Amino acid sequence: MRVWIDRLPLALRTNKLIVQLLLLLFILVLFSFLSPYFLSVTNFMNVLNQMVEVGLIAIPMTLIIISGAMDLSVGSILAFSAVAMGVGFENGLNIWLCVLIGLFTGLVCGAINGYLIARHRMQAIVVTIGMLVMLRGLVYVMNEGRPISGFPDSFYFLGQQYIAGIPFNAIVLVILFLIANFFMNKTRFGSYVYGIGNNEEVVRYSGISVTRIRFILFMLSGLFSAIAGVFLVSRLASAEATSGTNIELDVITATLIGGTHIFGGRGSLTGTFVGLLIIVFLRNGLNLLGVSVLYQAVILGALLLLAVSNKKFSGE
Amino acid sequence: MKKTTLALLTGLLSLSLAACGNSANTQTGTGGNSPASGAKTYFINPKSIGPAYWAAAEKGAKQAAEDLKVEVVFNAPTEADSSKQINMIQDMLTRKVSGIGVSPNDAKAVGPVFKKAKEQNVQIVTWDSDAPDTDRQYYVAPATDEEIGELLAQTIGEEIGGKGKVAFMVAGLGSQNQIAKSDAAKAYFTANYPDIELVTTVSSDDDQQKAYANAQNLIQTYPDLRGIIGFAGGEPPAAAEVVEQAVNAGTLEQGQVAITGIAVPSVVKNYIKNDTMKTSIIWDPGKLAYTTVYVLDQLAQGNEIQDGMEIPNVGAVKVDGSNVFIGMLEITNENVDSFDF
Amino acid sequence: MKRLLSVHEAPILIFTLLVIVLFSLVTPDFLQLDNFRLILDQNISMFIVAIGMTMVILLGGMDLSVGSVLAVTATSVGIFLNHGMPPWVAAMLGIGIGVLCGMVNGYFIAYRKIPDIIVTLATMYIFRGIAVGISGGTWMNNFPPGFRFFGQGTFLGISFPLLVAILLIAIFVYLLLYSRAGRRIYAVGGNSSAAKLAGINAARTKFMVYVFTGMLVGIASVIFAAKVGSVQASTAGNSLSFEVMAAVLIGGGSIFGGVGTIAGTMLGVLFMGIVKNGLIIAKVSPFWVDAATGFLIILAIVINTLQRARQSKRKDGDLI
Repeated sequence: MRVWIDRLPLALRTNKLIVQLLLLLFILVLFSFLSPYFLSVTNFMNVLNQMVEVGLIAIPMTLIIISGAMDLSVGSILAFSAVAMGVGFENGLNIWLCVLIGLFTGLVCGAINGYLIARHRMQAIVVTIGMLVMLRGLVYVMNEGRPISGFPDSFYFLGQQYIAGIPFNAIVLVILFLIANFFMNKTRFGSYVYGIGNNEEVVRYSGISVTRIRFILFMLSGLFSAIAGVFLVSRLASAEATSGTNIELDVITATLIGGTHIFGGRGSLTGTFVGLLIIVFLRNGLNLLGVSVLYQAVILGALLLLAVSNKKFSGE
Repeated sequence: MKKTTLALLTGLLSLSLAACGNSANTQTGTGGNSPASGAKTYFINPKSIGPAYWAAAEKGAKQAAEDLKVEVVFNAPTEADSSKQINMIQDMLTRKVSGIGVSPNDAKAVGPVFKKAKEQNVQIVTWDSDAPDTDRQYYVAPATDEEIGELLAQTIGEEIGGKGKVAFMVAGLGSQNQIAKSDAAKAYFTANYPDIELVTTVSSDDDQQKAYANAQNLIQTYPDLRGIIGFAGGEPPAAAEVVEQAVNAGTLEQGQVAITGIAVPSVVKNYIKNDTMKTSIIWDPGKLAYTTVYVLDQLAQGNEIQDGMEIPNVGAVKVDGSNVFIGMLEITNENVDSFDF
Repeated sequence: MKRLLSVHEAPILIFTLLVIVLFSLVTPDFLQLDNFRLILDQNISMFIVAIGMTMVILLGGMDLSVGSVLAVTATSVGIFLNHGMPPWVAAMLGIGIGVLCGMVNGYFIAYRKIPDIIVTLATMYIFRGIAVGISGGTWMNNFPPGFRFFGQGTFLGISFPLLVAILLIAIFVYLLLYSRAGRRIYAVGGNSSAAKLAGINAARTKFMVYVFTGMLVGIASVIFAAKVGSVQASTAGNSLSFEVMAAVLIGGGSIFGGVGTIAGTMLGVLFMGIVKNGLIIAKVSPFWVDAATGFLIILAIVINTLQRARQSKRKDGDLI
């Protein structure tokens, strides 16, 4: 058994995925029995619409965790770029220009993270905690914490429109996941990310700039957080100072349930996507049953422990 | 083989967990009584779950469920987060509830989901915090934010003799109902007490220890501070605790810093009894929730909401346009023991 | 290498002094004995929790659940008191519950070999849910006067909680530096395979550290409840874990494990406390307080890292 696993790492990964898929299937079946409203197209589309922000951020977060680091500042970057966009709009700029401003803001925040962490080899957790506090503060400085709204209808297309019955933002999410997955599996960039997570020295000695790869990862994280911010504003029709608070915990939970190893080197975007579906459907199902959020938190925590200890048995 | 067993085990465990959660829910949802089949279900959604204020409201909502023979689901995210709140409302719309009573974290952000609710013929009432310019039918509140802010300003103004430095403590710098109340209080000072100086506004982000530290820093920074207004349930007790400790330690004189604010009587009972705090402004959150369920039920039955309408357990309410007001209570040393929330 | 450790605290010490000078120049109210006492008083629970977090980070782990453990213990202490238990008994039981929470964390981390961050992320959700669940959503307050002694009393003219904190710091500094158990923590965190070869039972060391952390959080929560005078289960200790972790790392600890001292951590806590207090005393606009705090955290870590940028080498398989 052991030898077999060692020889076929790919099969192993697929097997892990099977466990997660079984869990997802189990949750779907369970709630279909428990709630008559669960198994409906409207509900599923709702869930897809709701998972987009967490999902968008989970893409770069998976890559960053695979590379052996972590970004806790994503929620604040989300709010910062969302409010930057809103402030631009309030000052009479064209909404799409404001979207660009928002994305650029996110990119800059990510670049600052990347510069400090990759270039100066600072501890990612502290730098991003610092950014988390600072950017959240700056959001309040920008507009005194008042929510900004009144965006044009054309902008709401991003977060509220359905195409052929499927929410537009979910389609974007899936496409971005596919693109990222392609890059991770088929390009050298992907293997470098895994390489850094497994053994940074080896990657460095093979003449690849670890600094540059890390920098790119954190920039991506900033950019995707900003994209999530734009979609959130469009979905809620309002840019708020509090948006994205604690979203990093949801994102990390989804990534870990999806089988990415916290110490880096192992993990996959497909796994993260399944992990994401597991937590959103779990939450949705429990909401439909009217289960108090207190029990929801306990169930989520227990599931996290189970999913991971389970993997310990099969994976190592 | 091993993996399949484990997957099954995982599943089984989450099943049992979900089942516990579910059985607990049945109790929360209906207050122990199973409703008559075909009863209407209403979703009552506070800003968050946890603070004592919302726990008191939950009791009122359950009471209403029992009296009106309907089912009430009382739930919200653990943090006052607008996007999580809206996800939850969407989920409940899927469940085809007959009405939703929402205390929105963001007045604008609930617009789209209310529109969707209206399309599904779901009755929409906001309570405690309003969302004007949306499809909500009624807003249930103790009074307008302006009235509450002005009453607080007036109370503190009278207590300190209309002169001196006053600080505001709020739960969130970005929260609409906090801004509306503190702006009203500020305007009231400018108009009626020109000698009162508002020195600063500090925010606790709903964190008690931070509120406590904020109050400590306030009396340290402004030794000549005369008054503190707390605009949310957690702020006045923190301020009162700090002032009481300072008085006991001899760094402040009794009565030097007057405190008032919005606070649940059971929480500030001790401070009011030992005179650290003279007046607390509150309304019964349980009655607020009760009224919300009642109004939703009337709307669902196609009845009109009329001014002076008598609501069982609550009394007559004032209806002004699309606002339903149940009135405020002033809690002082004389009546503090007469409240059960 | 270990001898160089003492140098690690130098940059943060200088930076803290700089910040103190800055605040003193801005406002005369800052550099006062009263205010210094206030800063210590406000951060007592942080100091105590940070001792535990230092040991956890020395092992190369992290504990995200401290805030939720604080909520569970403080809430249960509140319940015990409201049932008329004598303050001492309630406090001891509370600390016991803290130890129990630590044992849960320790069991999964040390014996089931699940990574620290995952276990504590999960228990963070679970303990918070339990705390709010047992509180029934209401506040714990109206504690008897006897209980308030733990948070507000004085002993021989010195504040009682401060005395407890100093005592705990002294004990754990001694344990870490001079006891076998303490040296094992450095050994396991510094190089776990070498420690294993030296015959150290890494699992037992880890378990012990988490139990100690639970106990320290328990003590901190008793002081917290007695000081603040009320406990709201849903928010108590909400941002505690991030703040304490930041303090440890500012104080020269390394998230890779094996590096860090309690003295450094205490400086880190003090630094954060000074910044938070100073910004308010200096009458900085409330909107700027968080922004400035975050900026100073980053600055502190920049200064810290610059000094040892060259020497710190990443260890394989560890987490940034």
